[in-house]
Amino acid sequence: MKAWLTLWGLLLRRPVISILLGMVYLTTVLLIVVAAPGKRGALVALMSAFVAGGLSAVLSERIRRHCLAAGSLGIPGHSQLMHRTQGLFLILFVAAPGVVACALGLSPLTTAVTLLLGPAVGIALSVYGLWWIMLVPALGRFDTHTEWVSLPITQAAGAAASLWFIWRWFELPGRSERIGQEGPVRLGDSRHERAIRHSGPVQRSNIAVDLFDPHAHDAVLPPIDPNIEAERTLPAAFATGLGYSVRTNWRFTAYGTAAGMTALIGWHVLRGGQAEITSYVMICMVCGVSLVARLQSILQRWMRTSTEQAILRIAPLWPDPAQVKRAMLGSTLLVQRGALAAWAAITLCGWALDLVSNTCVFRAALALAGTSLAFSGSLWATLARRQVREWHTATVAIGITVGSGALIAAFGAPLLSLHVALGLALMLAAPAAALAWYLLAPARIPISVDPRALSSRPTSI
Amino acid sequence: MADDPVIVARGLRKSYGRGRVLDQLDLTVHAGAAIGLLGANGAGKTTLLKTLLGLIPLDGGRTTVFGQPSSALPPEVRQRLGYVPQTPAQFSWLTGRAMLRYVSRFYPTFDWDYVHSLSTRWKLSLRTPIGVLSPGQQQRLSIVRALATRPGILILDEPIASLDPATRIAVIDELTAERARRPLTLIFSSHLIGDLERLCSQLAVLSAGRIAVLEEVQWFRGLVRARLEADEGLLAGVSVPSAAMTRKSGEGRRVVLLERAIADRLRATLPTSVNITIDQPDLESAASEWMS
Repeated sequence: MKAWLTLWGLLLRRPVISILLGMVYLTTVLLIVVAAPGKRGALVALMSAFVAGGLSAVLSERIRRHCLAAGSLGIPGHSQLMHRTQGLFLILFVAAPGVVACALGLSPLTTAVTLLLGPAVGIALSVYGLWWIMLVPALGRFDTHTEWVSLPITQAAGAAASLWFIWRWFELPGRSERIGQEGPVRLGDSRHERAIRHSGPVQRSNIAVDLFDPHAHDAVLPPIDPNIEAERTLPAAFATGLGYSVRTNWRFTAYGTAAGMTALIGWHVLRGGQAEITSYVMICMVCGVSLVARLQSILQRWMRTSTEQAILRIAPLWPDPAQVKRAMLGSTLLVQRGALAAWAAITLCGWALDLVSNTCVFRAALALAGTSLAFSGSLWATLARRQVREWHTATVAIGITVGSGALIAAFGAPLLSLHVALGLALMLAAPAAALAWYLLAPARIPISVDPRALSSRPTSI
Repeated sequence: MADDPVIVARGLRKSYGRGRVLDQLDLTVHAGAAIGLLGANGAGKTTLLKTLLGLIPLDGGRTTVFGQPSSALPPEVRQRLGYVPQTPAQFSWLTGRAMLRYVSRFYPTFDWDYVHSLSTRWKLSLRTPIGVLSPGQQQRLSIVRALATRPGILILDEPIASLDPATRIAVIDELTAERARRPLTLIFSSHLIGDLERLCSQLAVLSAGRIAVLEEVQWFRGLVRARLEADEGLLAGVSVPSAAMTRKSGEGRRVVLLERAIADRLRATLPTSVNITIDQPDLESAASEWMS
């Protein structure tokens, strides 16, 4: 029961995960209905492997973070609980779909390798970093001779390697707890003050961004002491006060863009033809994940800083609600610049070199726009209301509506058909409603949607 | 005028889900008062303080600060408000100095000389990231931040729970000195009655969603506790109209807080079948009777 509660708290309770899971399972069911009977087992195994891969990456990250804290606090029996949680995860997302796939006619060996490879890759990505993505173009060299994949010896080797990876995964809680024990104990007592001074003070979390409105700050805040590194815009000022950043790291964006272009061209060189769509899709996914991460960082910080908001709210020069709303809207746009610019540059490069088709670009644009709209809408809805339940409901509703709209528009043909118009309208409707709600509703500051309240029960075990 | 009410709350109602935290609560705070706010855990002290500052919406009732509704305080009123929240880790991603610089930009009257003076006396490192300070140091920094804005009303929500005894005394002494230097109204929520006794002129006990009692500290000190034991039927007929507080402590048992003279009269008038014992509770025990 505790393992179930922990898995629920760490993973399944997140609205984003619920939405994505729901969409994947819905798609799977639809595909199973239309697929030939002989392909159904493979379909179940493949889709479940994707799910298990994504979830295992998220779960690994969360287990690592919780175990570091648990090690630091010396919570007894925590790693055993995490082991049981990992076991439950494998039963639910690997073993259970495996049984279904076998029942639908897929061979046990193929089922095993497909379903074990998913979580193994997810764990590798989470634990060993995203540099694994660099190997993706190299797969193209082998992918042209697909018969080797179906060899029993290859499948057995793949299954064994994945199993080994998963087996090593069970060492993650213990290892993280040991690191937590050895690391500096935060909030212990004052003796560590002298020690950490050497690491250099954290002066600020933000640097000026004057693209939004360089004069907005002057209307709101008094002149700044020249000795202070100050924020010149209201979104940047909020970001400093609430602990996030609206700055775009253009150098990192340039590196990411260059890496993406290299991957796209590398894939093309290795494989040729139009098959580089796979690498383009992955690049778009990385851009989408980056965009979501930045939006989520704003949302999370606003939800977790009600005390700081309370302190600032009663300050005499705290801006009026209309300015706060404008600044928040500006922030949601500012943080998306990097990901969108990288995607646009990579897409332009791919399109100019005829590596990606117009349809592919259109669908990728829809996917990215949908991601941006869904998560921006969720953020606005959260800031408009401050009840946890409403945040969940709004997030799920916006996610489903935008996702459905994007799917309808993406698969509508021709480009200017009613399907596409309907899909686009559906994509825009929920975020537009959330935005209108945010602009019309009274400003809710401090907001008190604290996700820690949601996770307190399972993680306090 | 020293007796002008600076904070007025009337008929406050606030619920979280099905649990009613504030229930028709009334409170008047006069200029220059120093009120110690007591209450059991979860009694609603933090909720009350936040509603006074307009930080959480009310289900009913109204609060005013300097005559202005708390929900829409103008800048000139906010200028005169200071707040130390219960959570010590504020702005944990900044250093103490960066946090104070940031906050100072929202306060035209922010007093940096006072910050330097307090941080030296309280041995505060302003160059350390707040997130790695101990809770006690975070709490001290929070108090420095609030005091440096030079407020006319200072609301402190359990500000000294994390402090060592020496620092607690230093904070109390500083607040006392501030009150002597300039007009300062204090509302100080704490479970440490000894500290409240040193700092505050009045104590308020929050119980069952209301201010059960708000009186001078001296008044609490003058109370005696009478324990009555008798047949329940007999006790039910006994009434002590002048009692400060009466509560049933068990079947056939009552605890009554009342003034010494009234207690003596009560002892003389009670039937002999009612067993009465009178003792002198300390301030903590007396105040706790309202929370039992």
